[in-house]
Amino acid sequence: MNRFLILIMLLVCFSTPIAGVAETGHIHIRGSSTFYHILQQVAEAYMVENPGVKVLISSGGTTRGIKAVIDGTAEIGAVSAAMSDEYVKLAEEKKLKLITHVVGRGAVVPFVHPSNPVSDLTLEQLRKIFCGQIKNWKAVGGKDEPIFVTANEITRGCFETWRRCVMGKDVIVSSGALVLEPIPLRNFIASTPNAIGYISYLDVNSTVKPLSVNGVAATIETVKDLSFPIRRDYGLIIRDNASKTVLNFINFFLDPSKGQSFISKNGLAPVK
Amino acid sequence: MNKRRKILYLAAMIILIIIMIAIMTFKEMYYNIQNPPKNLLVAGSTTLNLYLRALADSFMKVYPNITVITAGGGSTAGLIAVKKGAIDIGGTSRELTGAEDDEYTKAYLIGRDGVAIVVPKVNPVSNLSIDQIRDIFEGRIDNWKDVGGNDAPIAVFIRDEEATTRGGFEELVMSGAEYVPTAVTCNSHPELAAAMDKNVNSIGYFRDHWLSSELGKNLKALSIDGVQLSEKAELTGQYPLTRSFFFVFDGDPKGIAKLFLDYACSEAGQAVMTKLGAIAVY
Repeated sequence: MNRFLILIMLLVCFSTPIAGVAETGHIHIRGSSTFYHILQQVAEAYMVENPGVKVLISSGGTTRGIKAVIDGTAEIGAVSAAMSDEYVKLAEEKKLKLITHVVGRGAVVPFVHPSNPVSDLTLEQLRKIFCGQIKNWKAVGGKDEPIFVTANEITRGCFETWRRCVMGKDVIVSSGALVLEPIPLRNFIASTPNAIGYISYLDVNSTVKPLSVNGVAATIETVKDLSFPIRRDYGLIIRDNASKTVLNFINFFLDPSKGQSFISKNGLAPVK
Repeated sequence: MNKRRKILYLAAMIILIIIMIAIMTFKEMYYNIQNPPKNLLVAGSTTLNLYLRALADSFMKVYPNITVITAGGGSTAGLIAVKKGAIDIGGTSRELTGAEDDEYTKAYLIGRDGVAIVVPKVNPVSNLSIDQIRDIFEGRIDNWKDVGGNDAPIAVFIRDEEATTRGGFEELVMSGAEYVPTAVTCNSHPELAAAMDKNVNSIGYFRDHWLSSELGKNLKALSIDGVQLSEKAELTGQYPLTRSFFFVFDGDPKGIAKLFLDYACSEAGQAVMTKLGAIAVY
């Protein structure tokens, strides 16, 4: 009788994890629109190599990606910003363990008009400029001219990265800042000599002048070796009991000759 | 004596039959007690309705005690109704917005389909952008030479208002714009194919599975923004005229609503969808 009970208990213990690792043959991915195109390219290559697996991709933003993994409507959440406290709490409430695999990195760079003589600022100088404590270019080695501060929309991944890496928790942006979307912002600064803004380094072109930070210029190499300080991670969030199919896809994404090659092809820094 | 035995035998038979009938009736009563007749309400996207009806019909064959009632009204109306608890499942043919996808909302992807933009094979044009397609169907571009083709007027062919493909095309391309007044309306895919076959300068839209059939033998699908229509390109979403269908729940799916979701995601349910031109997502 006792043996029988032990057998039942063993069966109960093992049945849950076994159900978690079963091959499913499909992966639903939801999330970040920022690296949607890279995800699509990697998924396409993955399906060529694994014709039995269907990889479905929907965009909708980082937040929806995280939520979908928590509520079980997708196997992978694609994220380009850190998980907000609200969702960390929700996952805890549901007793879920989520794992983030960083698959690529990008930089957010401060930039100015090409005629501006300033070419490097420290993180501290940037923070003071963007919260309005430094108001004149003269204070950071430039001309005796007022600084025109611009900013990104609060919903943008760039804003979140800038807040986390430069501004800190309690300082937001100088109240007089002009808020624009990335491309209009770049065009505005290209025609405004005293302005400063920040943008994904993928969006920098020859009409503006990117600044180095703490003496380090933003390049794929300085992002990869983590020496450039204003970085954002691109990640895939999964549950700790994700299926073998999902783990295979993650491994494919992290393979230097496979998924990682799409990261570098699209101008981001690979992690492997 | 013999006669008496016969009567007894007959009586025994009758009693046996009565008992059997009683058992069968009781069994049915018992089944009805265990599985009382139930209604499942599903409403939302009109363009999803074709798939929804077919799913409901084959589902009800497996679960005869459940009646699936479907209604259109649009994706947004379906979402509002499911959140108010008026229906069991909301069906959408589009992604939810951040505001719609609140903490309690659960959106399950159940299928995808693609709209092919087709021209006769003799047309040298092989690619158009979404903006060019809209301009053509609106009548702003009316000559093939403006999009890299021959110097010939463009003849626009569309489907009737009931057609799922028309709904999908309007959601994905037209964004509220009106069709060019000279557009010819066809009431079925065969009619559309036949009409387009007769006019080398025609352009129209098809659901992808018609294209591989006999009907589409003289037609070709254009690539859109450089992407050719394929199952892979619909799965990854790279093909721009791809629609996603979702079953949306308020909270965790339960009871017969969960049964219907599981059926839609099962091999049988996905087969129902692919037969009508969707691609399987499970």
